[in-house]
Amino acid sequence: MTRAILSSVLVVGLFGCDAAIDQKGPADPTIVPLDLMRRGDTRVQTPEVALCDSGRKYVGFGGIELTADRRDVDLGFEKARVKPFSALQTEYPRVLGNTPGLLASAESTFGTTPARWFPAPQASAVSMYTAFRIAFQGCLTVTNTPAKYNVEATQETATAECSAWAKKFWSRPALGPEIEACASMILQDSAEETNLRRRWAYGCASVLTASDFMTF
Amino acid sequence: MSHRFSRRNWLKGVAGISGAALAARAGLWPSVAQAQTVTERPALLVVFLNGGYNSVFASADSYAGAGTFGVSGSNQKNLGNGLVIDAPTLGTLPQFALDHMATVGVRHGLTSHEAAQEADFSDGRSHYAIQLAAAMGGDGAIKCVQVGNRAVPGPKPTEAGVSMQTITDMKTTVEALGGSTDGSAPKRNIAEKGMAASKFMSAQTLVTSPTMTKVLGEGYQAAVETLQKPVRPFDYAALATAYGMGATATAVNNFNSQIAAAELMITAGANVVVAVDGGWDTHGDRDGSSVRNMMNTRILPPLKTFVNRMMTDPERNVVVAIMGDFARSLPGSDHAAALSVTVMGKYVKVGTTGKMSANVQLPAGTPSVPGLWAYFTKILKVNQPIFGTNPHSGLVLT
Repeated sequence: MTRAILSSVLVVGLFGCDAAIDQKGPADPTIVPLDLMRRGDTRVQTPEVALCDSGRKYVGFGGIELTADRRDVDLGFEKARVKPFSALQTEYPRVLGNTPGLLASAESTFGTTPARWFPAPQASAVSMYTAFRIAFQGCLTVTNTPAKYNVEATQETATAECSAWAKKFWSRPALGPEIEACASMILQDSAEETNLRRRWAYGCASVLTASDFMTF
Repeated sequence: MSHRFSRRNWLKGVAGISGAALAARAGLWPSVAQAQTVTERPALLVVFLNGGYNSVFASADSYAGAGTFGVSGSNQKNLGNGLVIDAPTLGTLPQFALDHMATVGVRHGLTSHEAAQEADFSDGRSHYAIQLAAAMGGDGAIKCVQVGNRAVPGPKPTEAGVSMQTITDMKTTVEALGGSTDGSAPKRNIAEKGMAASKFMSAQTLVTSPTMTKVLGEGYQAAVETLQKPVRPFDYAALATAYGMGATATAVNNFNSQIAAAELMITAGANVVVAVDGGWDTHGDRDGSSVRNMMNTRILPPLKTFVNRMMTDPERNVVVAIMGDFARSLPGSDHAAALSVTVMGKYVKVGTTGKMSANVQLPAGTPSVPGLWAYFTKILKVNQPIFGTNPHSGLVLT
């Protein structure tokens, strides 16, 4: 009995907000889902969501709404955090299976953290390029031995590898345009590179420098 | 009040990011501002002393009457036109600096660190350093720089494509700007496409966490733009030697390396560089000995090197400003409500608008912070009056 009451209260608490629900309207026919988007398209469809003001309001003495200046943030937003160097130090070896040599001397580039402090990690042109270099070095080790990286990539093999890397580096399946961007690095954007293993490594590094790896 | 989820805004964001990435991949990213037309390359170095900048340095004679802050008849240096500075510290700067130095008054009326620091750099919406860097144009890949880990105060929204980039290591900076001799490194032009691809793949995160990943998005874009620029050769060994650093000491982790990094970035085309130094909340420093000691041991040695190498270059117009939250009040060296800023530059006329009273106050009518930045704009010869009319016109050499 007690459990049933608690469950009811929980359900009401979770879903029973009384604010107006901002239900989204029908999709614009010119908008396509993100996972069907081709590189170059900028039309994206987001999931339909129902939103309501969560959090209780309080009226103080004199009828003043005490939470009037409270800034609501929608669910699902602002969840990502840039990984500090202390995390990257173990993250690169974890996903790559090797430790890029550049990593050892890169701490000052990503910003040293004073003892007993945790400042929000900063990113810059230099740190992002350094991240790409570290990723490329690690990816070169990944592509250095297997025979499959010593043959010219096709759309099918590039797509398969990019999908596998994304799943490994990001812990989620990649969407079509993301796979296409990675495959394009291998198939077209690195075309001047004569070493096939390096071409694969460029694609790998581009996935490894994307935000799904650089943030948590 | 509720910040509603809006598909339209989400789409706009993704469209903007995707478009930016694709434009960058195609080499179509627009120029951020019109190019500077004068032949001298202008640049501003702001030395921000976190905690406060005692006006004994820039307005020494204010304290001579009562002998406060340790001022005596023998430790003042009269530069003329009403400007008297602290002789044992600023007075030892190279002659070029002394001949082109002014004290600029800022009557901001703020005595809390947080409010004063933010007001020195921002109106709450824009960041003056980024605004100025954007207005100055030029061809530098990185136009606005924070050297070192100490954060420049104030919100830092991107202005006309210019964001504030943090430089914390000179080796990797030289490699990004000047190319690498490491044969295993990625080819520069392919790496640029790789960075653009990474940014494209990051679109969802950048849109759904716009605040928390702001620096990440700016970093991708600035990296793409940096790699699009021609490589610039740098002689790091010579730079390190000039600043008394070891050739392998590349981390920007003290004031000396901050100023070396400032020279590196200005040489690479940066317009505005900010170096923040800590430890200047000098309560109880009644005779000014603590701030004089920090100035002489930490700040001035690299600054003298910088002045000699950068400010006397006939092809440059480098301005140096020393400022802080506010001046220190009397008798206990606490928080004053105004600031006397030291400015040095080729087009600076010796003089002062920042002479404090004996009790550390500036006259009514002394301009506030935007007036200081308007002055910077004038002496840097930037044509756009982005901060309004310069109220310190008597301090400009024409």
